[in-house]
Amino acid sequence: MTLEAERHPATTTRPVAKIVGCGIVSTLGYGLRQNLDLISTGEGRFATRSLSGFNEAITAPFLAIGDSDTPRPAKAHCEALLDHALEEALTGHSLSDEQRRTLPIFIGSSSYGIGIGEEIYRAAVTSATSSGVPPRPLPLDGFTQISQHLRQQHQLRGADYAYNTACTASANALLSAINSIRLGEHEYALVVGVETFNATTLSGFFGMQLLSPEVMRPFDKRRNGLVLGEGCAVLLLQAAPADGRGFTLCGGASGCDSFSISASNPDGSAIAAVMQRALAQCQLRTSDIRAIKAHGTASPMNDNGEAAGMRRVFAEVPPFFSLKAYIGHTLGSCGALETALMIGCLRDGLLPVSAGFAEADDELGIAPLTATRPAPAGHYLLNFFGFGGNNCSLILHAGEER
Amino acid sequence: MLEILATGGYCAAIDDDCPEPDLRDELARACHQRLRRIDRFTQLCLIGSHRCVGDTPLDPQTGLYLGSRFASVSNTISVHTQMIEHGHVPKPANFINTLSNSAGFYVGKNLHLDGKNLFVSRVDASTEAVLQIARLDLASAQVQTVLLGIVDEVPQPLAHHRLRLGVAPGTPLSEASHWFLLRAANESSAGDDTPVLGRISGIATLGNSAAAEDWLRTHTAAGPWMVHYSAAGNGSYLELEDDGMSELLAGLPRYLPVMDDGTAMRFSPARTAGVLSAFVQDDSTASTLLSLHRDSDGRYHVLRIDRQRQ
Repeated sequence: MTLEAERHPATTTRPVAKIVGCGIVSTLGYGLRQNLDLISTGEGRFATRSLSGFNEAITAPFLAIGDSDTPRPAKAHCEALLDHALEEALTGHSLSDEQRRTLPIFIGSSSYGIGIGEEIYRAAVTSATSSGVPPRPLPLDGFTQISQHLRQQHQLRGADYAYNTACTASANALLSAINSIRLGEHEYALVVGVETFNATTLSGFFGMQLLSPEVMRPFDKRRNGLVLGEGCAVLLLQAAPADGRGFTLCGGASGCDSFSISASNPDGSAIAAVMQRALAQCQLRTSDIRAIKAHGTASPMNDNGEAAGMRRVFAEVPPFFSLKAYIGHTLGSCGALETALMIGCLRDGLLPVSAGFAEADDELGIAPLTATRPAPAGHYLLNFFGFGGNNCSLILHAGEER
Repeated sequence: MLEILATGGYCAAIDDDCPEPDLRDELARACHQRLRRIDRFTQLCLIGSHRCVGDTPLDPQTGLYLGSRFASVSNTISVHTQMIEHGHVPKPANFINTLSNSAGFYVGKNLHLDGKNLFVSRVDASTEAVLQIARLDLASAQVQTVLLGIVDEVPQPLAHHRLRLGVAPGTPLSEASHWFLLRAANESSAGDDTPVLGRISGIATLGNSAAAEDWLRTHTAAGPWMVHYSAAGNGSYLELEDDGMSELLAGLPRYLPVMDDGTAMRFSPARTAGVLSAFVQDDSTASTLLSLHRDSDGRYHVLRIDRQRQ
């Protein structure tokens, strides 16, 4: 989907960062329109995936892209998602060769190429078992697969930054991209979030007993864990004048809570602090926020902490919803994916139902949207929280003209 | 422009089939509280950050920015080996430690930091990448100071890791944890008398050797200066590859830092950070260093550092 493309060059006054292109692939399908059409049903999704090669039988909830019974090779799968999302994001934008060579690329993911390495090593171990030759060393490429593909296949050779801060990775990437635009250093910036299936992540969450046996129920009284999902989103940011039109990423804040390696303080204090800093950074009052795209993972700790945090910040909590019951928890890529979906919802003029929610939890004291609602022009808060106590809140402005 | 307020770190040779150095005493000095279930990567981060800032309290909103090529590689190898070869589900603590920001969590906890806490990677140019992000955030006033570390460990067997690194068999390796305390050079910093060890500027990613040549000529117009040059897959860094830059670089004064035992600094993906840290503390050379790293796609990651007279 091509969004309203601002063709204004960066002005002599400080430009703002507008999102002018979005591309997305998720379990809901290819492209923003297909994703939004299924979100409009208000129904969460659920599927499972069996993991082979473990001493115990593992069938874990997982929202895959495509047919999980006959999956593509991991490298081809990851690259196909990138190619599609990139093409959609750049549609309608004629970047010059020089712009393609120099625009910075901010990437967020939790697993990067782990699935690719797993496949290679599994094949090597199988071969070694039959041949008696020791397997090659465990292949680990670090965090290079995504940027290397973008350089070699798409000639996107600008400075690349691979963020790995758990579920805030692509949200933190967005914050840096905003800075690079607002400082006037680049006319365009690309933000990429990608997460693909790998056994390490799925079995890791399985071992931590964080997974739900059914559709995710963010903020619901019966919430009992999360469902992981695959996804890829690409956002094209452009420097533009602050004219209130289109979709502007105003800024945000990021912080780290040392309460626990696996969750923020359930009293909401650290989460509240990040939301408050985000508002302050954008010079906004709480009353300026039209709605909140919550992180909403349906894990008891996250939802407790997030609800407590929202109640600390807002005397009256704005309408809020979680998107994770639709596409699963896409971990490090959720910043990019959920921001792209938010853009789509705002463009359609409707805030979505918080799928998976049916019964309020009195302990939380708040409840998400159970019906769609008009999405007025104004500011929206987007929350992302992750392992390692990493917390990030972004502020997005939707203009009257979108 | 970034000002270096403090620097320090840890760097140790790792040899084939030799046990890795025992870090327990160093950790006891570095950790203000008992931290359980931390892996070697986190241990290196704790030690290096402590060697940089000591016991000086930091503003809790100091940004903590960590860069690495492979992050917690030993733990990740262990998790994958157990999973793929032996069919074991990862243990929760080991699984969480595969996340690169786990180390940042522990360093933040140890130093009572609750501000921005990032992990960023760009292969052997992670030093340059993290410096660029720090520069953006400092220039945007999102943070006032940044504690920045570049850390890479070396898992055994070294022959396997050399393959991962893409360096020649037998290349001497080191584990490394190099740290800097930084702030933006601006009007307010110009007015105070906090000692500044050096200033970093000109950080950029250039698309090809022609752009690198232009950058180098610009920054060598006035001297004196020295050059540090490295290239992907070139573990020894004492030999130049003929990539069109060799003629320009030949004959330029090169900065070759040494390790504690007096030998040449061994290869680590964190090496550029080690060179910068050594340079800014070394009064015996010209006061300007130009650093260039060529990656496997022919891009150049460059920066300039000017040491301040103490």
